[in-house]
Amino acid sequence: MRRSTEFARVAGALAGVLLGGAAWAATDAERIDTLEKQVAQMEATRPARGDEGLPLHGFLDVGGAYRSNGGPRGFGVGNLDFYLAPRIGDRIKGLVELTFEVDSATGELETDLERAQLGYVFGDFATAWAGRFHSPWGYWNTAYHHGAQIQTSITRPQFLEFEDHGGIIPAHTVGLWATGVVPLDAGKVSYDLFGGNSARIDLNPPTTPASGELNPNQATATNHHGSVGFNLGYVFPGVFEGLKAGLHGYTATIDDNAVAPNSTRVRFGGGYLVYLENDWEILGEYYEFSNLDLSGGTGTHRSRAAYLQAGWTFGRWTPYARGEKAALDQTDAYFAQQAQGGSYDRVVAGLRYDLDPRAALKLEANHTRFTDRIVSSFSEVQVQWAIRF
Amino acid sequence: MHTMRYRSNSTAVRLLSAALAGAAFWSAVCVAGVLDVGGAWVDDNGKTVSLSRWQGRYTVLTMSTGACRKICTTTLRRMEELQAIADQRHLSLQFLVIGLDPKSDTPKAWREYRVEHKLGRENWDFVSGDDDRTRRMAAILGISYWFYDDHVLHDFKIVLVAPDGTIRSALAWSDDRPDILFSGLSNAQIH
Repeated sequence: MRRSTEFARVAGALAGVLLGGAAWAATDAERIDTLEKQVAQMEATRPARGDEGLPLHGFLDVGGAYRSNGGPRGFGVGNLDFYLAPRIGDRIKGLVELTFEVDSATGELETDLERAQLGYVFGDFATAWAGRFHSPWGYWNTAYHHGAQIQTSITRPQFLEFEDHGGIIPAHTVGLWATGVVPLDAGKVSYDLFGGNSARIDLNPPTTPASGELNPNQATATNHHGSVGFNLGYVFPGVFEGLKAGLHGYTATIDDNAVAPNSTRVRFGGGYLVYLENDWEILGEYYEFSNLDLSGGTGTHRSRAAYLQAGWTFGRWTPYARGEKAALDQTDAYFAQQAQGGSYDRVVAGLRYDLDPRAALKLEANHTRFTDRIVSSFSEVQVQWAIRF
Repeated sequence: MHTMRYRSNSTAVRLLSAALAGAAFWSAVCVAGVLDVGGAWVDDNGKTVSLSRWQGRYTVLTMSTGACRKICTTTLRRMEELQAIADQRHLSLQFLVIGLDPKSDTPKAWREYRVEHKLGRENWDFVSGDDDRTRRMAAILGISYWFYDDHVLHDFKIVLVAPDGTIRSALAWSDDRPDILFSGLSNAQIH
């Protein structure tokens, strides 16, 4: 009984396959027709471009550092950066950059919504953004965001660091931003116009001068003042392809939270020159400050900061070097109240090795000399392994 | 018995349906060859072309973008090395670069790129498609890419497409010797 059951089962299955095969052979044309209809159906019901799901990309870096004069030494986790760019149809897009980073001083994990912006695309000539974005002055701040793998070097120029890393210019603006590119007969013009909340300087505690850190004020303009800025660039054509030059400017009224608060109309202008071609990466920016003391009556204070970096790629290797200088008037409350607002010189040299298009190893050394406040210097060596995914 | 017969027949039907579904799926996302991604592509002269134009010939194929300064520089350098190797071995090959960024890889941009990088040989072509075709081609070639603001972040890959449109060999980032792409390829095979 069992054997006959087994035989029936096998025979049935075999018959099914054979019958199916016979049916297959006999109705090839019908089968192909059905297949084509199914393919057409699948093509027709494929999700629309705006509904294909949201890819998650990002960056991660780990590394280590050794600083002289008793400074920080050891290994550390850098930044885990999640990047999302949702698109709602052809015109509306979003951009979110959420980072998890370890505070270098406390070792605590911090979460930052570094960028959260919604945009409307009118065309290549204009996109309007609203939200929190990288202030589009200069070049570096909008060319290199929070993904370390993108950037050739380990460090940013110190004066262009992000606010929570001691940067002395608001790297983020919460507000509105219009940007676009206009092609000309020769070359292209790029522009950025932006405005938003004025940043503030948070002294910690308010009774300690020169302990301040910039805060982009992402919930509200705490001092009820705004910021405005622009960037105008020209991309050269022809034999100068790869060369971009630009001018930028910014003004904002920035207050601190000292016991006797200081209020400064921060104003800077400057320019940049960038060459990215023929394996060269040459970046240079200049900032001239003319800050007006609004609270202490000390008038206008002039300061300046600049950097120049050059790197050359051969194969998987990119050696690079950078010089930075910030000459910051310490009678200007805006700089005086910031912990990293002192004047300095820095030379940087490094080497980047692209393990893979998505992974880079970097080795970097710098020597930094503080030239006011406390005249001192330190040397530092850093390593970094940075990936994108 | 009735139940067992029903089960075996339904098994055959399920197998057949699965085979048909699989065939339908693969026919939707996989094409008979790389060059079967249909529709209109535009070359650097602004002419509409079909990728079938490259069928019947061995073609060195990659995806790149003129705006990229790191990986793409390496990619194009490798393509030039491959051209030099092909010249040495008297291999008559086509070289095809497909743009990753339809917005910036316009015919004008590619023309300027060719002049700037002295890539004017007649057996070299630069084409771009729309977003959908670009994505499909990248998926077929296994090249992952995404946009990070103005950056186009993408993998490195160069393939040798056989005359029938199939991928004969591929060059990855870790391959130090580009000539492995032509491994086993002789002049007699091409002509």
